[in-house]
Amino acid sequence: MIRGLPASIMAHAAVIGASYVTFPYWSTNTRILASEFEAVDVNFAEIGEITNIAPLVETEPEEPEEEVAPEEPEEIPEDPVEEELPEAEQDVAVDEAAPPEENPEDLLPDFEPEETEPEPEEAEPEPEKAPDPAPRRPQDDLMDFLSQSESTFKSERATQRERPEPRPVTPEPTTALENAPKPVETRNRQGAGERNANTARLEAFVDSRIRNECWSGVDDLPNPERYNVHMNLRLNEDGTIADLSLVDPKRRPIGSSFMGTAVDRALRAVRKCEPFRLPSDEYELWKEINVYLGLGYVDK
Amino acid sequence: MFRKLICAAIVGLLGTWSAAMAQLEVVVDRADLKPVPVAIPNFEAIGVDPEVAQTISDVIRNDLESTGLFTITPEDAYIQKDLNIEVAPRFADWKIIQTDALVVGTVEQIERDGNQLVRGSVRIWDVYGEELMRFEDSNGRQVSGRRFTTTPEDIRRIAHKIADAIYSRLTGEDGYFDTRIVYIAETGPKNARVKRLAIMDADGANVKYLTSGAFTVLTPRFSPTAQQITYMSYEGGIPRVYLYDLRRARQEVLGNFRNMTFAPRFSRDGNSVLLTQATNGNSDLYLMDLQTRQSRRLTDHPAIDTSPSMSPDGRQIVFNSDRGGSPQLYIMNTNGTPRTCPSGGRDVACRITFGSGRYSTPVWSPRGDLIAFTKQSRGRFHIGVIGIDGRGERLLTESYLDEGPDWSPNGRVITFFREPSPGSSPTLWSVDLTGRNLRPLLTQTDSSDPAWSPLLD
Repeated sequence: MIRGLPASIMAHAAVIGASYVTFPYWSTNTRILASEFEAVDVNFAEIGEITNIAPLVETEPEEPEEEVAPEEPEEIPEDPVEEELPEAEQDVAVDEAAPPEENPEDLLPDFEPEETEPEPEEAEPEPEKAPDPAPRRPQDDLMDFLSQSESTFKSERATQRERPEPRPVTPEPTTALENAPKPVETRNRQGAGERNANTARLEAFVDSRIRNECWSGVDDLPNPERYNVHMNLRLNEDGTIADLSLVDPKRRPIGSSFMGTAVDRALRAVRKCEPFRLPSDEYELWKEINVYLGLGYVDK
Repeated sequence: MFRKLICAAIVGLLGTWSAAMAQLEVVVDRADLKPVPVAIPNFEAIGVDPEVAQTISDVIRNDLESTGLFTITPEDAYIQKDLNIEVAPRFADWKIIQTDALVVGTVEQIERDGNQLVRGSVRIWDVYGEELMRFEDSNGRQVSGRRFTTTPEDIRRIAHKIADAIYSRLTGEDGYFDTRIVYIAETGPKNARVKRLAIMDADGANVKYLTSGAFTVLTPRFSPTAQQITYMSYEGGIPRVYLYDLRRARQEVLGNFRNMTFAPRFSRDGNSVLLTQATNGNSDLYLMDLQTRQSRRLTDHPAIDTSPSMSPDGRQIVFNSDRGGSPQLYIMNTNGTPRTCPSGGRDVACRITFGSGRYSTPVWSPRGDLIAFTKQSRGRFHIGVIGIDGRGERLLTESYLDEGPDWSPNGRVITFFREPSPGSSPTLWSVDLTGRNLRPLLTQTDSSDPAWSPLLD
């Protein structure tokens, strides 16, 4: 009985691990999409051609050709009746009420794959192309910056043990992270992301990347302080995203809304920043990151 | 053995716990607003002239780019060319060229009831999320795409509708491309100006002249709910407020006021018109019900009260008055009851502007939280916005003469007219609510007094 326990644990771990590794790719397969549209007839708002407005009697020097009040009495066109498209062309509402338990998938639910359509083979090997070369230079600079600081970190780490309370070292590029008070949710966490030099510097790096390169903010939305997004990010050792999930709100609101836009932008910002090039020997520190985007996370 | 297992489990749990504790906490409060890179490859033409698909694609691109909120990925940067609206794109190809959203569409010819129609269909892909961006239809259902059908003569409207759908999905608010702008087209020398009522699509296409120029027309305003315009006209010799029905092309004098009426503006529900009547040098505000044609006097004050504009809920009116000694903005309840003023005390009309200069032409935002105005200060004119409590005044523009603001139907953009220097010609401009994206609206003639229509049906 007891001997079988490790085997059982290993078997379960293998299944969970396999699911964990393959899960991100479940949704990236090229799909043949079912024809699912909202069909809308454009109703014409015509401008009447025959008017009761007095015509200009005097000869105008620069009269544009499109003068109203034509001589021939034309019939004023009625607006076409707005018609429903035939059944086949109507929307197929796949998931008007998205299953609440499937958080990451509710934006792309059950499309019906059509077996008859050939899928392009090129779609599969895409992931290799994903790391874009363009943003590497600033990352490398930051890597240099971080590696130069590592010796400082190590010596500080040694002395930290003697210090009763570790205090964050403010890095020279001032970021909101250092100045900003902690979000409400994080204040009660005990020991989470301790404010030591290592975490502060790593956080400053992630902050800087998201703020300057990947996120476009929500300042253009009305009352932007209302639109705050908390995400949980888990990273692989190479800095690629292992998992990105919404914490607050738990899911993207359906349809067009300012909160939906804020969620879209937040998720896109983190995904655009991939890969996060952080020191591999400190993977344990940065393998999981709580990302808070929005003015509401800053104490007034 | 059992003890060892227990110990191992405890150690493992501790390890897991400590790892969980080793989370970074990253708080980013704000970032510079960056235009969203969007790729809009030419829509696929199915049974239609490729030029039709090209035109629709161009109009969509122009609409979105004109907002300043998007940059359109140039076509020569595309890696994937074999797009199909029914098949997911190769996301990596679009990530490489740093496109956030990919718009894929088709334009096809269909036949219905013997009529040849054109149908435009569109889907949007979230490139980094590698998923379809779903729309919400009028019934609140999520759908994967939008589809619009019209006659071949009206293909630009399909494009505007599609652009509105994309804009709405990417910004969270309604678009404003399938709209019209009514304005005053000005021709002739400065001392014999011909001013005619004109209307065009929001992107400047399809200009039509509604009045002949035999009489001067000023301050047109669009109904927020119907294809109607109200304006002041000198037809008949005396300046009066008129109502123009676009579909019937008929105008009529609004009310039987004895004296000059001017500065009209529809209420938000479109059922009444606010206007000003001048009697013996004094001006007061009136509200006319368009159904009953009964008017009600709103102010009775020896000062000049004019330029009324109603809040979206219809309960309040902002107007311009010199009752404090200089033209300033005031807010009153539509029912005329006293209100608590932001500056203290209670009064029927509360002053909300206290800055230096003269304020005029207030217009309540469709969103309800801001009032746009013209401000004259130190010899310069500005278009600005202010909160309804009189706080947060921001000047968005400055020039020799900026005047006559009006909101886009979504409350995002303000249009106005500008004369950059003494004696120069007036032209139409627009500016984003944030003060960004100041740009001219191209018209065939000199132009002034723009007013935005609601989204067309």
